[in-house]
Amino acid sequence: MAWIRYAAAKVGRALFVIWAAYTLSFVLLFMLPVKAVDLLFDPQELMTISNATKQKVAAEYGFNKPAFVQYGDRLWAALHGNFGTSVQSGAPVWKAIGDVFPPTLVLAAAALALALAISFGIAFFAANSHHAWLVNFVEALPSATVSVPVFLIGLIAIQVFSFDLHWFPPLGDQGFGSLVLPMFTLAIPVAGPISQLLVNSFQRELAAPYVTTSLAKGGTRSWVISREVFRNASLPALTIAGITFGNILAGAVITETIFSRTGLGRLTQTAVGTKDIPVIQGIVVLTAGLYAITNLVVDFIYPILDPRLKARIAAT
Amino acid sequence: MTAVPHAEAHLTTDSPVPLLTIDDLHVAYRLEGKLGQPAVRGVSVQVRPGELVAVVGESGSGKTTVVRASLGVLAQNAEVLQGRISYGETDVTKWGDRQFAKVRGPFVGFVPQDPGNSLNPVKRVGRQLVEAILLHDRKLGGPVSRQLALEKLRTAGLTDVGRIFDQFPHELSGGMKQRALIAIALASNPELLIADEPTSSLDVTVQKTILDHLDRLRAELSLGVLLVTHDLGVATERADRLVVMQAGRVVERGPTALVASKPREPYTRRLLAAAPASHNSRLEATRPAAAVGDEPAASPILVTDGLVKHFKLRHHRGNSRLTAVDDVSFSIARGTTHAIVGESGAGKSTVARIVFGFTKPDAGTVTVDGADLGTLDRAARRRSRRQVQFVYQNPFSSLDPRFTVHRLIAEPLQIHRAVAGRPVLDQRVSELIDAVALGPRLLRRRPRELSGGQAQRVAIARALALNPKLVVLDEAVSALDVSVQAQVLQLLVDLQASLGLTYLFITHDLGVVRLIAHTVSVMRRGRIVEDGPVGEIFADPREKYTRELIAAIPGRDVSPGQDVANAGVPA
Repeated sequence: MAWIRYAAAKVGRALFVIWAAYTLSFVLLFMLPVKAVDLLFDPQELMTISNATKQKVAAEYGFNKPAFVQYGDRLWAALHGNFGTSVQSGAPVWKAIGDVFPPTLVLAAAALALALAISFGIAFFAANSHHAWLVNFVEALPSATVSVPVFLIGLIAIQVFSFDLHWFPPLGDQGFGSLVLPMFTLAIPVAGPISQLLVNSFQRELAAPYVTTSLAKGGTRSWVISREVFRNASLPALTIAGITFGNILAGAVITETIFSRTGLGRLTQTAVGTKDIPVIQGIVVLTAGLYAITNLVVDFIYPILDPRLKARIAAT
Repeated sequence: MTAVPHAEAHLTTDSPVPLLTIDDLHVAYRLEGKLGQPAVRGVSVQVRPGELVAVVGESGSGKTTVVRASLGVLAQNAEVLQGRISYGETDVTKWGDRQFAKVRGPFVGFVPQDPGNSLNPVKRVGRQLVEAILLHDRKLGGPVSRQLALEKLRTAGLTDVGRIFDQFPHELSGGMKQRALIAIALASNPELLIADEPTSSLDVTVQKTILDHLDRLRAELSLGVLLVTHDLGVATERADRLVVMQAGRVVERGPTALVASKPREPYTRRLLAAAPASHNSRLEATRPAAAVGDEPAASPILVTDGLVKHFKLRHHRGNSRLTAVDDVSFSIARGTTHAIVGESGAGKSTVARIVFGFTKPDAGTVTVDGADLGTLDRAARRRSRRQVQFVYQNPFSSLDPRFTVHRLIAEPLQIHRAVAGRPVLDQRVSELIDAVALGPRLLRRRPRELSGGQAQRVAIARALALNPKLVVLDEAVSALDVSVQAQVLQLLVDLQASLGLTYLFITHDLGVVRLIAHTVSVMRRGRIVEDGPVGEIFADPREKYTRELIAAIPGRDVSPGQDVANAGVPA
């Protein structure tokens, strides 16, 4: 019973987040200081279009109906997967997004894997090293990576590794070589908050009394770190999975622009530049959906990994 | 020199070779690169097979550093400046992690201080125990190691071991966790057991069974035990030899009977005097008594009548109802102390919360100074709250860490607009800090800059700020070292005399009840099983349960000045 209630609450929250994202983007659309119908035309051609044509199109899209009726119609359509058509390309929004999503997914997955490797590397190193100054230096890295902007890392990477050393191509998305620099550029800021959290929780867990128990029963320090501390210290990193996801997406927009890669980030950037509102709304809802699903997955995994939480859910 | 001490070499009790020798140990901690004052200076301890040696001292005396050094698990920033630690005849002072790991388990076992946090929370108890076995004997198969683990749990005094094996730590009580930890310590048949305050967070009756069990193991397995404790009562009752530590040094050592009966050092005498068991009557007030207007017995300040409180419990299989408080009635005469004593889960704290008005009883009434709490409206209840104040167990979690002592004490006065203007407020705050015997220079400090005793005094000053009639003390001295506990109890007795206060004193420790209370109710499973004046309850307990509680008070047989012959060697 408690589990059904727990699952229902979490799924309900996820649905609410997606709905709220849709509604908010709809409201913003209507609060823009332009007429909704004007957004359907290419800004450069807007002056050449007659009022009659505008009215006809407005009627076609239902812009002359009251706002809440439009909201209802569009929400109903969105529930059926129809977010309208892109102003720029004329293609359906889901297709515009679907076309560019796979390369972004590859970049995001590669960057996440690298970010996790960097973060755990830093955390393990800080937990194992005996040299205080080295530990201090490594512990300062996360905050440094958080505060360096993505575009700066990207530009420096291109200058050094493409122009000076000619190791990797500066632009494009052909082959693995072109993935390396964007992957690093994106991974470094994403690794920042994760490693900060991991370094702290490794330290906290290492000071926990159960570590002394495990040492006293005959575990070496590295046994205790890999068999006891690692898992317990990693758990809190799951709680920022949603934030990590947001960081990756935000970073992807900039990374893909700098390296001229096709992807969701580039699409977002172009759509904002051309006020392609249906595409923007589609991206916002997609992002919110992925974010909600990420957190939902974490909510279901966490109790399996931490029996104390399982007991707490059963007791509510 | 790196050979592992051989197990069979020291099994006989009359072996001249001690299991553990600490010789002139000096340890200091490095803070921000600089080596601080040594935490341990010239400590020497020996433990022979079958012998129990107790290291006694207050918090900060360096005893935990001694424990960690002798296990080879000193913090990364600790440095052994001087001295030697030997297991048997092998010098282990310079040993590395891997060498120590081989003998932790088969040679030395460790029972930690805090059973609540000393097991890995995400691993089943059985797995943690099996690991302890397999770390030293990889060849054992799964079923064999499971059988062995179940046997160790039984040796540690647990029944229903099959169920406990598959449970997570949070599903066990504190006493069960401590037994599981003892099983882990015994997993690879050690010869030496090091126990760091193994029972200080447990109920007295559980403490007694755990210590009894350690005694039995010591006799059966001929274990050498190094017991570290702040409680001289526990130490004198159990140890063959005592080592008294103060500020990193050994100030006195010798056979228990001798140290307990003829302490040479004033510090040892102070510790002995502080043990609750060394008093058999209430503490005398050292301040003049206030004139109490009313006839005390005529108008009790607090009357509870037929209190009942149920809690709904939800399990994975259906709901059930827990009766936390079941028909509890008592009254407290003005200017006296009533103690409620019982083990964890007895319902004491629920009674305290009902008296304070935090929890609504399902039945029964609470009358404070003639007013029935249940019939008061919000405003009246707020006014009546000024008359009842609370002091909790842990001052560091009940005092806001960001506030200065001044602000902590001033806050209730400001909330209730009890004083007008800054000068009057400052005046009142310095009166209060003076009343709890702290200096005015502490006013600018924050809680983390105070010792446990000082912080609890601040909490008491805060409780007194609004001139309450009744102060509820919920385990208010339980977290303090025995000697600090004695000082705070003395302060409470003095404040009661000079201000005419009434106390409701909630505790699990019957030992301190005798020092402070006039009357007592013994609670068990939500009910009062016995009540009456303290003297009568101690002299002639009617209930078996009360007798058990009294028997569990550590160090009952010890008091300063006793003959060496009768002094507390364990039976």
